[in-house]
Amino acid sequence: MDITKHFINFRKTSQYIYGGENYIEVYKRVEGNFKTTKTFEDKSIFNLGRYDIDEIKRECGDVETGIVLNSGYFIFNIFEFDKIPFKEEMRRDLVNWRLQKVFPEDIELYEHDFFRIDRKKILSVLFKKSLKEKIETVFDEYGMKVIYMGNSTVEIINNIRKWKPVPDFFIEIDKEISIVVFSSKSVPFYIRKFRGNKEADIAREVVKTVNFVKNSYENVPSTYSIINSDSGSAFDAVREELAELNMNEVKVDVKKKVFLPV
Amino acid sequence: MMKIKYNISKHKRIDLVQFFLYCFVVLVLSVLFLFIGIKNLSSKEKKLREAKEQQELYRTKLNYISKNTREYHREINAINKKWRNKVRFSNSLIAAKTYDIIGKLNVLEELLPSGVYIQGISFKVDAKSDIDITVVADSYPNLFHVYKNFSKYDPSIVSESESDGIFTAHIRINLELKKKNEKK
Repeated sequence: MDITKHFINFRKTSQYIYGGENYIEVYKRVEGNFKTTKTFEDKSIFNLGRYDIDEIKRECGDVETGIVLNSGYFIFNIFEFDKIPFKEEMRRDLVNWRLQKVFPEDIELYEHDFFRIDRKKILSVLFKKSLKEKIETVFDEYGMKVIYMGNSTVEIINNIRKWKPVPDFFIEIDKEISIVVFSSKSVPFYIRKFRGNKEADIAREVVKTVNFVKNSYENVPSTYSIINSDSGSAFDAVREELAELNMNEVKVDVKKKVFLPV
Repeated sequence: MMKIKYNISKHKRIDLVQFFLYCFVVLVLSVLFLFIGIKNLSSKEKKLREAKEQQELYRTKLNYISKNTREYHREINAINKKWRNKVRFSNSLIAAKTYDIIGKLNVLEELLPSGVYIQGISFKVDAKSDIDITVVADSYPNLFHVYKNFSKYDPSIVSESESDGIFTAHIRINLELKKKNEKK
């Protein structure tokens, strides 16, 4: 039931392991903000060795931990319905039916969660069960208490809705993987994910996506934010391209890790 | 938009502090509503009781007024009756006072032909009552002349006799004089 969902919240942790694109970062809450305490380069959270997990455990200790994964292995869909059923079962059937039309694989192999984000819209999130079990098995073996496993894009959507002003879209860039989320009144209506590590490629894809949204939806985006876990990159090329489209940037406070649950 | 609570961890734990806080808030609100409800009910009951008391008071007042009204009506009727009698008596007095005896006698005298005399007359002081006249005539044609003269006053011959050439008749007429102002 939706009502119970509203009243039940999951416990938050004071530290998160971010599973990025070929790197892992450990974030700990220091004076209200999350700060990186350790980075494991060239490591994938889906493929951890004994030495790596030892290192992570040493860094995290026995404290309850959360794992935030980037959107590389997630599949997002936004479905619009005339009317969304109130009953959870009927809602699931409806979403599954719609998902089967656009998703050729076996849904059973995926952890499928969906959320009503609007009176008519549902955000569906798919993540491979095998990958989830892989992470859980490793962390369970080492006795690490992982009480949260979520997605960076979902958390950005959650955090960005509190901003003033809320950007019309944001670009989440994590090395090779980029995801663009367009929203209207903080409700997402279009999500696109693409790969590309060169700034020019990312800029081209972003412009292409913006033009697509302009042509396909009634909403004309005019503001954006760039969120990247890799603070070293400037993404000037993306900014230049968007400036040509008369887009204004809503700057993100780099101290606030918006891809982590707050 | 509501927060998207996405957590696929199999070890996810409910934030009990927040949950119990919600429960506490719900409980407090429930108790508050219950309290307000009871208070409202009791105040409504009190108001109802007061209204009933007021209603009873009004009913008593109404009964008292009704009773008084009946008594007043009775008194008014008695006074009315008394005054009506007085008025009727006054009217009869006025009628008696205004009864035109002389006028009637004048009419009778004018209608009597020569050789005919009134032997007896009786009447009531009432404009509408009949007048009984006993007349004597020296001849029957004279008596007949009397009948003829009184014909317009609806005469009725009560008795008629003749003795030694004297004709006696008892006539009843209804002589109503027109009032002077009516003439005008």
